[in-house]
Amino acid sequence: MDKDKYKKDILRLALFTGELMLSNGAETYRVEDSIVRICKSRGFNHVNVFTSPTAIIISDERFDGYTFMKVIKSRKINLEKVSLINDFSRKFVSNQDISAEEGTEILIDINKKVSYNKNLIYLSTGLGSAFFAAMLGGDNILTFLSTIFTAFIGGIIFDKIMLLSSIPAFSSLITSSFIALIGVIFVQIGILDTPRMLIVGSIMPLLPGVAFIKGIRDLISGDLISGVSRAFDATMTAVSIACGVGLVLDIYLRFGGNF
Amino acid sequence: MDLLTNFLYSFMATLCFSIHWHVPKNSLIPSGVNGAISWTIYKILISYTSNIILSNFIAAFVVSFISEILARKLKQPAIVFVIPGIIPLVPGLSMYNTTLNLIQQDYDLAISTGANVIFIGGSIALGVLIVTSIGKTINNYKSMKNKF
Repeated sequence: MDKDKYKKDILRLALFTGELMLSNGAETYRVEDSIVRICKSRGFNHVNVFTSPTAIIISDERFDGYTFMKVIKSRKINLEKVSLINDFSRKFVSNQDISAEEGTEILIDINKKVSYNKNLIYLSTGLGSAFFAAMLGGDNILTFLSTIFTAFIGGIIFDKIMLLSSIPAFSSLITSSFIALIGVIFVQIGILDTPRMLIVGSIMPLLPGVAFIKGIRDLISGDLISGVSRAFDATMTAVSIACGVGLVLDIYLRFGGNF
Repeated sequence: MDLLTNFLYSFMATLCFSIHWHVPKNSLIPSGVNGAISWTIYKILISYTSNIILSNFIAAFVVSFISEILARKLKQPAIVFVIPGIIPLVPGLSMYNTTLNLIQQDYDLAISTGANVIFIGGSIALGVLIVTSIGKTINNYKSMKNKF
């Protein structure tokens, strides 16, 4: 009985570790690797893990057949947490003295950790977008300032809509059409010559480049379901961004604007 | 623009995006440099070969190689450096051009730029994947050697 409880606790801890890693943007193979290592370090050698971007399933197919599953609703990129959880799983594997309860407490602490102030993140998103625009050829001061402004507001809008609707494609659509709208307005009042660099810079934080690359990578390395769903998710986001920008630009061009 | 300006701009852009992705504080500068290196390599290669896909592939390859080394030196998972490293290569401008061509009903141009976007994404992913696979193979080899 006691051993049963111990096993359940360890499996739960492994599942929690995997959940945190996946929802903070770790790669699929690393999640599976960490879960298997945690289980093996406590003597459970016959553990199967299935990871997809929306769910993790852990099962012991020999002996007793305990199975745990966790659905993952939201995924974002928080590399500091990934790094901390990685450290934790290494420590847990090499140190047999850490109990499952202690491990869970450490993980909860990591999950609560706030590394950067929210305003700093919005500001750096704006600055990053502006430097990106400059890098691609829009290196004049007006484009720079207006891109900071647009990407800053865009980041806030994205987070607010994400909070209300929790549909990433919808948030991307609204945010990108807002960005294109600002670009067009700036052109219309004569601040900018072309909205191109402003739009390209400001949609950079929304673009699913990383998700797409992760998807292709999963696909090539054999995590087929996770690869297909990640790549398709990235395509959906890209299409919705293109629709948002395209909608505004199309209306603008039809009403006789040009750039 | 000369290479130094390019380096500076991409460094700042990557640094700011690293904060956007909550990169740990002690890894901010290395990941910024990583992104700057990838963009500079891309710029140098594109001026010599004018082959977008090859340039992206080699830049992604070099950057993920540097990331694997940094990850071992700074005791972080490699993804902390890979994601900021490849961000300057993400084809945002080509995507914008594809959208613009589509709404201007210039479908031939839209298809060629759109195909380019997909190929660029694939080549970056392949560049990253090759390095990761080599790293994993070396690790497996080492652990096998220790066992026997």
